[in-house]
Amino acid sequence: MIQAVMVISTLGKPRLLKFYNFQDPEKRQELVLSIFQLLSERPEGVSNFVETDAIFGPGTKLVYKHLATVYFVFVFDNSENELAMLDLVQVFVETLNRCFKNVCELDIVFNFNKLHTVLDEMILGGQVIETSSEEIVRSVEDIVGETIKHNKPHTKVDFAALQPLIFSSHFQDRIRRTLPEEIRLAFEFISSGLSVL
Amino acid sequence: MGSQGGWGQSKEFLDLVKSIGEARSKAEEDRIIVRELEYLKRRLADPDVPRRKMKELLLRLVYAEMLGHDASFGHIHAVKMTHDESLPLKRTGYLAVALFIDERHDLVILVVNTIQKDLRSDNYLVVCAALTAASRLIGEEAIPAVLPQVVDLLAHPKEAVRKKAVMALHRFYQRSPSSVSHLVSNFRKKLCDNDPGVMGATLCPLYDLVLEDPNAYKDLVVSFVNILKQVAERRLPTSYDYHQMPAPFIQIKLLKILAVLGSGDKQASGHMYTVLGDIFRKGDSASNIGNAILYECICCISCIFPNSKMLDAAAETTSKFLKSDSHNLKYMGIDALGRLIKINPDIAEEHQLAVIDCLEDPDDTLKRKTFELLYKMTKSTNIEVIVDRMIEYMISITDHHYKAEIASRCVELAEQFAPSNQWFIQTMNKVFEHAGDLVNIRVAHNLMRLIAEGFGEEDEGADSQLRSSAVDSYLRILGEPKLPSSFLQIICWVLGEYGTSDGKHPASYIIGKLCDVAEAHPTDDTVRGYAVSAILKIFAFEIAVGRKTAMLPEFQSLVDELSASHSTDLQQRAYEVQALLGLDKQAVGSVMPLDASCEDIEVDRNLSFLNSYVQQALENGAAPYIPESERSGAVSVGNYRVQDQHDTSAHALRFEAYELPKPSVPTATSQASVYLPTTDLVPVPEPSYYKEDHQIGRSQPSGSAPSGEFGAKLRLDGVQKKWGRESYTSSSTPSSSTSSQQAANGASNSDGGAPISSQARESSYGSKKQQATEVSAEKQRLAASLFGSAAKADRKAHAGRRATKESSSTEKVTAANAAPQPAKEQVVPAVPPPDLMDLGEPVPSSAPSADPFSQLDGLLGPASASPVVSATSAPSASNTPDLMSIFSDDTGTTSGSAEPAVGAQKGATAKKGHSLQDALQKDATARQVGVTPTGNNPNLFKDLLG
Repeated sequence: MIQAVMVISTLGKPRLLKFYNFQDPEKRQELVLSIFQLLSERPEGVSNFVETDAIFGPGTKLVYKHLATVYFVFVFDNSENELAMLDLVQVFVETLNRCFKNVCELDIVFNFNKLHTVLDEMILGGQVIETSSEEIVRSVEDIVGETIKHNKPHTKVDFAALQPLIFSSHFQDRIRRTLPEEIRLAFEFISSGLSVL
Repeated sequence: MGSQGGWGQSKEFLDLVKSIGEARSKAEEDRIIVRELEYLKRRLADPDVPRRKMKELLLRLVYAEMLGHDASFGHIHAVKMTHDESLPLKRTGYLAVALFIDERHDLVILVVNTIQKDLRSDNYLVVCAALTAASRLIGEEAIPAVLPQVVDLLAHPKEAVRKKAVMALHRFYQRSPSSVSHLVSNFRKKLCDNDPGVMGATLCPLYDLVLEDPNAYKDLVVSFVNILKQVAERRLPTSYDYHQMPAPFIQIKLLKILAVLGSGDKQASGHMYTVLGDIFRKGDSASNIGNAILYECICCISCIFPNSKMLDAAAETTSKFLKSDSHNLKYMGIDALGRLIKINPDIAEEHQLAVIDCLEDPDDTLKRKTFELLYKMTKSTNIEVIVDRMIEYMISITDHHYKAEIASRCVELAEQFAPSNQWFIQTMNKVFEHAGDLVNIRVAHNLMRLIAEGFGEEDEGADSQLRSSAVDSYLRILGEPKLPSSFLQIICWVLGEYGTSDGKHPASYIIGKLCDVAEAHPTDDTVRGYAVSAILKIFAFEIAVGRKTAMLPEFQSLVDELSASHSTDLQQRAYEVQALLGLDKQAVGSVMPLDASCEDIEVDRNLSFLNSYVQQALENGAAPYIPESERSGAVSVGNYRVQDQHDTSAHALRFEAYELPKPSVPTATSQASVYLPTTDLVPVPEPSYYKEDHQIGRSQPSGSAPSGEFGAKLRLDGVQKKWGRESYTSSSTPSSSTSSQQAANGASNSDGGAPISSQARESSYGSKKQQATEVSAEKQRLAASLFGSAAKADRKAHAGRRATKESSSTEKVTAANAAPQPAKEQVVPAVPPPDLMDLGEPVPSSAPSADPFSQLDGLLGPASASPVVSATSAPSASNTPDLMSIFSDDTGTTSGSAEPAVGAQKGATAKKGHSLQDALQKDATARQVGVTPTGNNPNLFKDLLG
């Protein structure tokens, strides 16, 4: 079963926490911290799986996706298929993208209750119940009783957090690869400073 | 704000998020949230807040809690909101409750009623919300309250509701299988649901059920295969496609279920081959989800009854994974390879290079997975390479959890496949050097035992060469800073035992090194104890061969320091060293024989050397001994005190508990009444035989030589009691302390005439020997499984028995004056009989017992607070002061030699098994066979050393 779904910003702030086995608040922070440390140490271009025996107990793994300024993390035990979980992350992100149109970190922060609704339609009690993002969006619309509007929050400060998750990683990679070192550093400095929410 | 429409938050929330984002430090962030929480507390308690606003406040509260702050004051408001009529508010309430509390929380009871009501709602959205909440919040006790409704919902017209009802039921089953066991058949029924989504959801509970009892679901194999076939053939509506794959999650779940059902079942597996082949053929290795299905197929094939065609297909797909550029696929490939080599080890051959590549990969996950694979495919031919790699990796990582795991794997592999002993020692050195504190202490003891026992069957030369190379390597390693404690213990022990044996290193050099070790670890009492004992041994060996060893100043200061140590154990060791240095060559040689760590230590457990003294005392008009069962509480405080001391010596920290006479009397009484048939002790006609009765039990009152089977029976008794009730355990050590005195006497004063050994006793030893033979077969197997040389243990056991025989026969020689003294019983019953059984085991070391005695001395007051060295005799002395005189009269050097002997035994034995709780059992059996003398009673050391 799936043990937990987390969305953590690249600065280590929890954006969404859902544990399918209840954890008390202190434990949650601990887990977020250890997962964040684990993920931030991983280099680019490696596999999306990490074994988490030391954090969640024997046999547990996590799959993560680093998109723009957030990590999407699914923790699960060995009754799930790693590659399938990776696709489930994809389903989740795609669904969010349908709900928010070019979903970005700010959407996640301000609408975490909506993320919970989406997740509840995908996963119930740690088991996957729906994997079609169309179907999920439809049920969410039913629940809300209205068609989802694609509105964006307006804010003057935060460029990094406005990066659409789906495309941003390519964008960042391109910047990293093509720009001279000083500019890249400056860019990273600015984006890290701005993406603080 | 833009995204507010139906979802979004107010400006206040935006401001909150923004200010948190702009916070410069964690403290500032905390201040902001604390302020927010105060505000929320005020507003939530305000009855005039509009409901819509309440929802927002609640979400802000959830947000604050997600950031790690206590929001418990608002939980009740969340519960209240679940009662709301409006669906968005109700949902928010359920969401908040589910995030705040779990099913064990007190507030849940307030939600159960709401859930019950909502499950009956006409609005299916409300029902869905309630089902989601139920799967989260309904605990074992509340299940009956909602179960009927949930079962009814399985037939709900809306498939979304049916799906959630199935999952809720599954959740209930996970929480409490017994409360829904009668409904399990519903899962089977729902497998035939019209809606593929509901059917897919049903697979989750069925998978759990199949895992628990595959046989009960064998009849479904055909159905599962059919479903899988239909799904794979795209019979489902296209809305179930995901990235052009038909319902991949359903396929994966089905494959998992089939893997369990087909495991070891040829017939069931037969149904699966066709569909598995189809899936392989159609497999889409371009998309991620396609690979997920292929991987699941490989898992399934590796679990079910093997089919060569299927295995070929699986191997082919695996090699595709391994050759892929994607790290994810490589990872899956390594995992799949690990599964396949269980069936056919040859598959790994062609992927050697790919595996090596993965080993070099910067990706840690992939590396670990590869090490796991290597671990599975280790053979005696490749062990060296694999373990070298593993150690290299182990050194490079910092993650303690994984370091410990890989260290234990190295040890396991090395023990299993070591090509040579030299290699084994070197490997162990590396493991201990880099992860010593993370590996099981048992491993350290195995290593010491291995070095001590040697490896070559009868080849002493190879053994000594090995030892000297171990000594060399340890002397070299000692230069390294920061060695783990357990490794230092091994080093000290080996240096003490074999440091000077090859003559390459002068004693003073080794002693200097050991002093350095003790000095460099002022807080590690265990290491210091090992170091001091090692020094003691080196001195003893030097004295024994007649060399004079200069006292190094650092050694002198070390001994001075330790003599005043807070640790009584260290104190005792220090005093022992000093005492030993004052002895002559012959005495030292007998208390501390060279290379005798594998020899047994024979114990005169009946204190027979005191017999003549006791008789003398009786003739002089002393009162005969009255067993405890005969005594009332007030008769002799002194005796009780002895009893107390004995008890305490086993567990020093329990001194207070045993100080009162009352608790100790009943235990002693019960034991005594079982084992002492006669209450009238004085006129015993054949006391020397009586003692034998004592050992073998009442069934043989004549006291003739006991048969082996009696001995065996007896032995089991003793063992059982030793590991059984607390009272026996606590009383087991006193016997060993007294017995060690005996042994000391026996060893050093075999010509003194004091030790008495009767024919009967000799025969009892005989029976024990037979016993030992029985155990040794088992022991051999153990040794074989650990080190691959069964004969060794046997050899040592024989040697041990030989030693036993010799020592007992010497005693027999001196036992000419086996005087029949009733007084002997005076001494014997003081030691609870179960201990007598234990004494049969050849290795009581006095190290643990001596220590508490000295502690006890302090407690008893200055009168008996004699130096630690003589502490062992102090208790008996305080009881019967005349005992001391016989020590000095009869045995000449008694107090001089007996006590160092105690120390010598300790030196020889305690070093190996210091405080090893986990090695306890093993040591006990080992001792029985006489394979290794190890320190006993680890509990005690645990108390002392923490």
